[in-house]
Amino acid sequence: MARSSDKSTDKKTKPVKKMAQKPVKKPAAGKKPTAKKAAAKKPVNKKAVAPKKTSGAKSSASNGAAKSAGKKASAKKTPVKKAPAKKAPQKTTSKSKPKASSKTATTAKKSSAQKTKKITTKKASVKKAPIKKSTTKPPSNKKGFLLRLFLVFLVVAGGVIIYADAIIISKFDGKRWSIPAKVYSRALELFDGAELSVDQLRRELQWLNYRESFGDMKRGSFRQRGESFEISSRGFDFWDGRESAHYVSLSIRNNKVRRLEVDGQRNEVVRLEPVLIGGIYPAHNEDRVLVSFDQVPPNLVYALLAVEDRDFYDHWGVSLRGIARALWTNVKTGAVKQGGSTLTQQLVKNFYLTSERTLTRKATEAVMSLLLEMHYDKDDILEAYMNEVYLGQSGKRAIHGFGLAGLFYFGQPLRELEIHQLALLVGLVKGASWYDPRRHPKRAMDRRNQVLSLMLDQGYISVDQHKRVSARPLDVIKKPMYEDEKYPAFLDLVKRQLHRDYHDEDLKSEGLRVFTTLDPGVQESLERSFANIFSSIDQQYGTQVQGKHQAALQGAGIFTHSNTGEVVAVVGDRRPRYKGFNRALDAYRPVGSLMKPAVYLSAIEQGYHLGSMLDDNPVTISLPAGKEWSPKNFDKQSHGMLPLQVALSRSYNQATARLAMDVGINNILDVAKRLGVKKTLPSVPSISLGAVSLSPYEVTEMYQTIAAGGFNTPLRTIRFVLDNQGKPLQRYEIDVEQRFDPGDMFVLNSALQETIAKGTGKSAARWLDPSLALAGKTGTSDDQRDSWFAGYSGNYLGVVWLGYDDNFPTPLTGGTGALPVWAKTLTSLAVVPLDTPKPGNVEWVWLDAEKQARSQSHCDKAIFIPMVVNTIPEKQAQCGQAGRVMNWFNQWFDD
Amino acid sequence: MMKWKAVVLVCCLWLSGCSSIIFIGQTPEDNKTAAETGLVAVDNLIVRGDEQRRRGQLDIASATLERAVRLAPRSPDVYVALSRVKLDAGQYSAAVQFAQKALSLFPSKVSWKQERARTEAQWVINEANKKR
Repeated sequence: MARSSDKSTDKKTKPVKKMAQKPVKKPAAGKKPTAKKAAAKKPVNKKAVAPKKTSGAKSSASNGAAKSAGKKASAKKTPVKKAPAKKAPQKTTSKSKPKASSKTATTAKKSSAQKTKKITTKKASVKKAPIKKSTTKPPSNKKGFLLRLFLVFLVVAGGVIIYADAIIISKFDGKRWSIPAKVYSRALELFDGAELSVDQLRRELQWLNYRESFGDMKRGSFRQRGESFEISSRGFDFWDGRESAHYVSLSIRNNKVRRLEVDGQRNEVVRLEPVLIGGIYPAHNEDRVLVSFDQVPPNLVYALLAVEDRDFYDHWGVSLRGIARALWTNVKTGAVKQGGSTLTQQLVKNFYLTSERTLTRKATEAVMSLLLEMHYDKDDILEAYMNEVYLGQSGKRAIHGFGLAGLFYFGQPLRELEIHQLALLVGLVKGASWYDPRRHPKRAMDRRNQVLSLMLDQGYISVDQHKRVSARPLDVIKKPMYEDEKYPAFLDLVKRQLHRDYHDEDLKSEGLRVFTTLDPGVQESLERSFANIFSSIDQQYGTQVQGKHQAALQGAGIFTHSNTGEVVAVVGDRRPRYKGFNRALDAYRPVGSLMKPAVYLSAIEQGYHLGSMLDDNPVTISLPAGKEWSPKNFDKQSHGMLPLQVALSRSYNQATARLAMDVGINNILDVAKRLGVKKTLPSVPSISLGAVSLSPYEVTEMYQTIAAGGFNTPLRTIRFVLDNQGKPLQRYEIDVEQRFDPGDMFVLNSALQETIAKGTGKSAARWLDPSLALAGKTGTSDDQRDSWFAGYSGNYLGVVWLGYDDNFPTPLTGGTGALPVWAKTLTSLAVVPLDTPKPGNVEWVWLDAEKQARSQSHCDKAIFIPMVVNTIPEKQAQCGQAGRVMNWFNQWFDD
Repeated sequence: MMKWKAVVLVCCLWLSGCSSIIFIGQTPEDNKTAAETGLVAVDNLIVRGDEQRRRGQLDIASATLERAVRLAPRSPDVYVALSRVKLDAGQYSAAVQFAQKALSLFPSKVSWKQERARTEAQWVINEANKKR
């Protein structure tokens, strides 16, 4: 069903030269479009949505709101003659199937059109009858027959009107449009002490399309002087209420926000609005952002009236004057230059009918327009028109309504647009694809200026204003801010969670607003890092790899907030915009040494400490059925006896396999489960070296518990969901569960810090300051088919995987492939050092590992390690004064 | 000489005032949280969330304090305040978990303010264990 205005040729806009010379005043008081009437009005669909279930999420008090909406609905079934639309209730309830409601949107027009056709056919047959009879009946019966015919006509016409009336009311009062759910990123919080870099803030303002201002600070603008910022925020509706628009000033020193003032007040915290990152679209892909009449800038209304229907506030839905004027213009010019349809007729055509050019359709349109005007006031009709009109195309997605068009073309909410921008949008009504400002800027500019001239002619703008705004550029942003699924891997994860809690139809049609945990700064940093590493690997190993293998090396990664479990970035493919196979969630690959922390944590729980001596000599383990397993170290060397801390940080397989057998495979499986591995792992010795396939998401779940100090923190991608009225629908709470002793976790963390400081992850120092004391673990599967890294700071946890989809060996280890992606990602973020508080049951001790005795700092081979108090040996090793002197010299030379 | 005596007297009075604040202070039974992170904006959120809790607006209190958790995720105090909400909401298991999370984040040497918050976390655990 074609709805777009540009497809119709009966356009109503008169060329500038043809307009009446006499300036037309703005609509008279009482008729002038005003926001007062619409103040209490909501433009959005009125259906209440309830989540499928409440497990894992908190259903809000809005259920009560939904009930009250339901009550309203029952109280308001009969249409009232005047303006019921504002308070018109939602007729469907939360339990009603949205499928049916969404069908209404698409089938209403068809059904109404079909019905109309049927009725007019009947009329035709009725008309035929008297012609036959008139030839046979005597003239005396003719009068009576005509009377009867007239009565039949009245009955049929009455039926048509009643039917049309019912259609008009049912659709206008009910759910007018299917609105796809909108998905937002997290909102950036600004407060004194917040970790934030200048680049991060600047990028955030760019994503939100804040304009750099050099004069007045209007809403949605900012000013930067070095490290100091002034921001005029827009305001936004959050779960816990509205964040008003504010004037914010701050400076950033050493990656921290300083001297923040909000409207001149210190010690405040302020949220910028979240970035719109995508939507959940129905098959027909019609999208809109609804605006209420009071949100619309008056200049948009003036432009619309000037161009499309100057008599809008004077006619009854059909304008004879408008038709005459169009006729006159067309006759004069000898071509169809202007249409005579009013805005009401256009709305009726787009909303209820088809765009077929027949007299029947035109007549139905006129009748329905009159009926619509009888029931609803002008502002309601204008508001519906402004939300309905087709204004552009983005791939499969049709851009409807001025609310979305403002974001699509200018990246700004409608209320922030200036006259020249509003004029362009109004100009697009005539033909959104013909005047597309991105593809045909010259045409669009001419059309915009034509609209401005009409506004001048009709007295909506002054000559000076016209001169000034006509000289302005189009100001259209290159790429729409509102891209369809900008971060597909993350949105995939969000949708999976949403589909557990909501019906698919609700997501596609109920206009839900989903507030996620995505941090665009981290996401883009992760994407950049992948791109850099792929490029570098291609250069370094290109010939070696491509000579044997044609498929591209792939990668996936997930970053979370290490303490709250909120997922902040997901990449699922080498091409981050690719919407196909999401490796972050669905690629199950052998994890290699990433499983070792489970082995060592199990050992620590059983009384091992970082100084416990392990045997890294060759080992052979007997398996059932007479088989044997003889794991080898990556470097094919054996390293004899060494402290546990060294075995883990250097990722020695022989020592780990032997330790695993001592600890017990079932205990390791139990630890893995408590860490968050939900999959049932096989009880085999090789599990200790990671002979199990997990997805990057599952590995993240496991390391989340480690990074959070032994507290299992389920990963979350959604913070809350609002319904189409902006009311809270569901909140997803932070959840924690302690699964390990803090002392044991502190010891394990220390060993993983050692991995980054001196072990297999020491290359991180190329990108990251060692004083950050980061922790992590590399993982490399057999034949280097998989390169893994999982690491964390005080605020971020990141898991990265690289490999081929068909398991072809790579030239990479965990340290040379995945680790650089992780490290580079962190370099552009404000990273908090990993400074875990020492639990009460832990002490830092100098230990002589060979003697398993307490030692002193100056003793040779003494290591300084954290130990759970009940594992500290009582024995004290002496090393004498010579050791102290030697140690002093060693330290002196080390320095 | 008198001047110095006056200064000493004022100092003594001031210190005694401090000590009464330190030793009397607020206890968990006052029904106000002692949580305080040192980040003023976060503390304002804690105060707001705690007020909401005391008014019985537990859902909104929880949302406010989770916002504080996001701002200062390594601060034990926000978890203490959140554990109070869970306790009032009858979610005793969650109350214990958040209180334990708070305890895991306190440094071994704490200030007197942190000591009060730590005591409060322990109190929450005891109360929740009694009730569940």
